[in-house]
Amino acid sequence: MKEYQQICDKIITNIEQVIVGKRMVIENTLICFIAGGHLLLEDVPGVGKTILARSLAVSSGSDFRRIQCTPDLLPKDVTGFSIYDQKTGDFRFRPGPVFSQVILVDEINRATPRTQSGLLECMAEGQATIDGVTRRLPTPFFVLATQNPIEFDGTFPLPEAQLDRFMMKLSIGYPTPTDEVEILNQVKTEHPIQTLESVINPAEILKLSQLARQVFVDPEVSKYLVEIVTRTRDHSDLVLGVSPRGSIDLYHCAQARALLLGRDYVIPEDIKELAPIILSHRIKMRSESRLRGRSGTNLIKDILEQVEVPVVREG
Amino acid sequence: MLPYIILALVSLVLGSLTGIYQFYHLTYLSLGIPLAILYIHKQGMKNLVINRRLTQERIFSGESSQVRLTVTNGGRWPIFWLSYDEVIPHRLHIPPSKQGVSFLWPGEKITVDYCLDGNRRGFYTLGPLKIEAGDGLGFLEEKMIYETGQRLIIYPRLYPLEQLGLPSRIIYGDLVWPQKIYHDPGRVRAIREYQPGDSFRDIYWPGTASLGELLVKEYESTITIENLLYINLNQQEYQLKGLEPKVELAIEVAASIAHYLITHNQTVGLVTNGIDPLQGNQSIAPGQGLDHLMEIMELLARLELAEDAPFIPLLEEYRQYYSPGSTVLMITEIDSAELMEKSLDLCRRGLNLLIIVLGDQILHTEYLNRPYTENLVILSVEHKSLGREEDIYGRGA
Repeated sequence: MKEYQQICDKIITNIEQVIVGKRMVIENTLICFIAGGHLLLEDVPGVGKTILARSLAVSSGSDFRRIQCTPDLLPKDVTGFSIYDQKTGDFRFRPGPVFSQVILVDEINRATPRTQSGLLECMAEGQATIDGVTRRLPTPFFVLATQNPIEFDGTFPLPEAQLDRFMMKLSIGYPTPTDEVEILNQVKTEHPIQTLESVINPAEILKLSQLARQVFVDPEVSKYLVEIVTRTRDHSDLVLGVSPRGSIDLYHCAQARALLLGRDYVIPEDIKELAPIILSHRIKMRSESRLRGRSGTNLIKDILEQVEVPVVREG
Repeated sequence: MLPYIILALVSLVLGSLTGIYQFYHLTYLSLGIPLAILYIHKQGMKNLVINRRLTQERIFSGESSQVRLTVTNGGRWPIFWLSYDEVIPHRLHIPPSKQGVSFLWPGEKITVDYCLDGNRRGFYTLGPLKIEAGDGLGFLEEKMIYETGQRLIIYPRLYPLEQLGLPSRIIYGDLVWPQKIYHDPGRVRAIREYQPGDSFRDIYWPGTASLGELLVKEYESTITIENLLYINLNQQEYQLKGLEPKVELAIEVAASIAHYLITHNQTVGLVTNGIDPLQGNQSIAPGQGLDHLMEIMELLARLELAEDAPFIPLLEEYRQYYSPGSTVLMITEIDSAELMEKSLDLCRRGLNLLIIVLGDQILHTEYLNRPYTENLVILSVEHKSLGREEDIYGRGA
């Protein structure tokens, strides 16, 4: 397990050459990547969302594409389309950006619901059906979608059912003044992303994903996870609790975190650390509770404080 | 301290002149005791931990929030004497008079519980907590002000629209618009032959291939309805009789409409000529979501009457917030001729106008309670109609 921990450390250290002072965000992004999920980044422009996606793609040797969402983006602009070839008299398939391993979907809430659902189907199924033909997407397949939390004008907010498809929701946040000075020093001559090299290949990422699924989860830890999720379903501040898909995602992320930290078993601490970023975007608060200043993250943290943590013997 | 230093010096001089050792002892005592007390006092004050906790920092008008104030001696030395005085806005709570304790031992805690009554909407700052401490003997006395900037926000009440006498159906959503202003690429209306000038992005390839001629997709033209709430809080346009209830009603009507629109996934903005004592905000651009509603509610909680701030110029000033088909909802006390003239002008520009007049004195009755398909409608809301019924979250009025 230590060997895999070193591989993960190598990826994180490599990305840290580009993203300064955000180790926790990088770790969580890698957990999401290894766990086979997709990530939603909600942040203001210019904090490094694209760079994070690009550096992850470069570090893992995966190919990278970016989709800039606009209201006139069509599902076929994402998935690809068949074009008529006059020479052969037949349709030739032209793959869209979704046929890449790491995709940055910038400002996903600017795309129309139709395009959003086209993309989210690809995310859920790992395949795209174009003109009646189903095509498998490459593996690993990792989508980083971004949305701006401030600007809502002319947007199509993702409904709960579509938010549920994202394994994790993160925010990068502004760097500290010290880190920002470090960033300025780094970009003095050229951006470090230009010289970043891969430290692993996509096949190794797939192997890490498979190994993560082998990580042991004690039944008591599983019960602890389910207890947290169940409490969201009958909470008085919520209209909608966490779905079983949320439980599954938390389970897989906890396994991936254990692997990243060099363990072959999950501990309750993994669940506690990951629950706010995996569950908070899957719940829908009552308008009254939101007006009282309650937030999804705070609510999940409150539940974590209330649920009794199981004592699991190591080994 | 000065008298003790003088005493020490005098006794030192006397001791050296007379050779009586007791004078030296007096010197030590007169210097040592005050210094020891000073040291203990400084240590005690350094480790004084003050904490103020509210059960709720945002409440609705009519609710209350509990406050627990704790003053803890977290150090290893006692505090000889301490008094505290919490400054709280009188509208929230009548604070107890200055209270004090003698000897706050290490680890000891003073707890003060009190209740803040949200009788009136507003944005209230709690504190500061004024602390005075000393040795109780008059050697020294220290004053300290503890300020955290903690605030209590009291939102206006929210009522169902029916209870306010307003229609529960306000036009909203995407509408098909006769003019080709915005294309909705998600809604194809028809396929037609290619014409020079058409975008290649719009070519319908499967149809083009099967027919052997270029076909393009024709999209629906749609608009998204935006709502903009205007509140007239110009004191000169209100009658002095029943001024405060009318202003509160205006705020409550605005809050209830904003709540309704946001919870129905609509876009809503707010413009006012009232005064925001905290940030000076007079407008919030149209937006969606509960966070946006929170922003609107916070501004409504803070708003106060302005002495001389004309309302009608605002309708032009914030025209960047209008898009074709937007609904403008105005809350005012009087439907003046000038306001109606401006409203008709806005109607001609393709906007829908809903004027909500506070009270029953409507000047332009020809627009009163017209069908909602009309571009200009006047509705009347009266304070007495609210009676003592419950608000939207089940609290009695």
